[in-house]
Amino acid sequence: MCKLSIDSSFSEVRLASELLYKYCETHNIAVDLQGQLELMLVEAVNNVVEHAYLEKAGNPINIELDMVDQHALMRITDQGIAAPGSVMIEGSELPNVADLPEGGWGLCLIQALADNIEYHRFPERNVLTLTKRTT
Amino acid sequence: MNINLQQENGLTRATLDETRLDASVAPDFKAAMEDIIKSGNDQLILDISKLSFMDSSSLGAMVAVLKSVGGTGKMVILGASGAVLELFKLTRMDRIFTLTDDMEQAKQHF
Repeated sequence: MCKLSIDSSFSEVRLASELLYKYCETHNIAVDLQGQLELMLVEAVNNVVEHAYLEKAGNPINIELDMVDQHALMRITDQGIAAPGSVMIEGSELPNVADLPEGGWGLCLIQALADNIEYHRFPERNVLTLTKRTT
Repeated sequence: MNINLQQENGLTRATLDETRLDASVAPDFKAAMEDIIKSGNDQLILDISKLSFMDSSSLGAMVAVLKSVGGTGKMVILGASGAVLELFKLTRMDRIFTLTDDMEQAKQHF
């Protein structure tokens, strides 16, 4: 298992990507799949920085990457504001391209790329677990 | 933010000399591109072929840049590939941006 704790800052999200590169190398994950996993991970961590911590630095985000039964597993834990659970699981509709949106894609991308999404709110803790088949 | 400019026959080729575009640098990218457009470079080929990763906040910055180009300007995106191209497709923004992987084809859009 690969683990990392980063600060709740967009500038730290790059470290999550670097952890993922090591993980993909260890598990011989193809470049195309690595790109999809990186997008899932970065969008999920960006969401934590933006929505759980309201872009305030100085708060922890814990990231765990594991391989379970040929599925890449990403677990992201934070101590920020609870997310609306149904939205986390069900995702949301893609913004209408005709409106020239400048955001609102994060959850849709995670939902499109992940094979399974689990979100749990514990007392003062959010845990998001994303899995994706690797074969 | 490293963006190299080349001008030829009224077209500006802005080459993004970065391999990663994410939420930490998306505002800088947007500001740099808006400065380029305000300087009169509104017939624009944005070469992102060096990018290996881009997140959705950066895509949002790119939409803002597209809006800055305005009605009389034009922007073509050159060289999106791999995970970057997949981001355009997953968000369906490939229907909004003009994307090509060939410089000669990019020029023909003007």
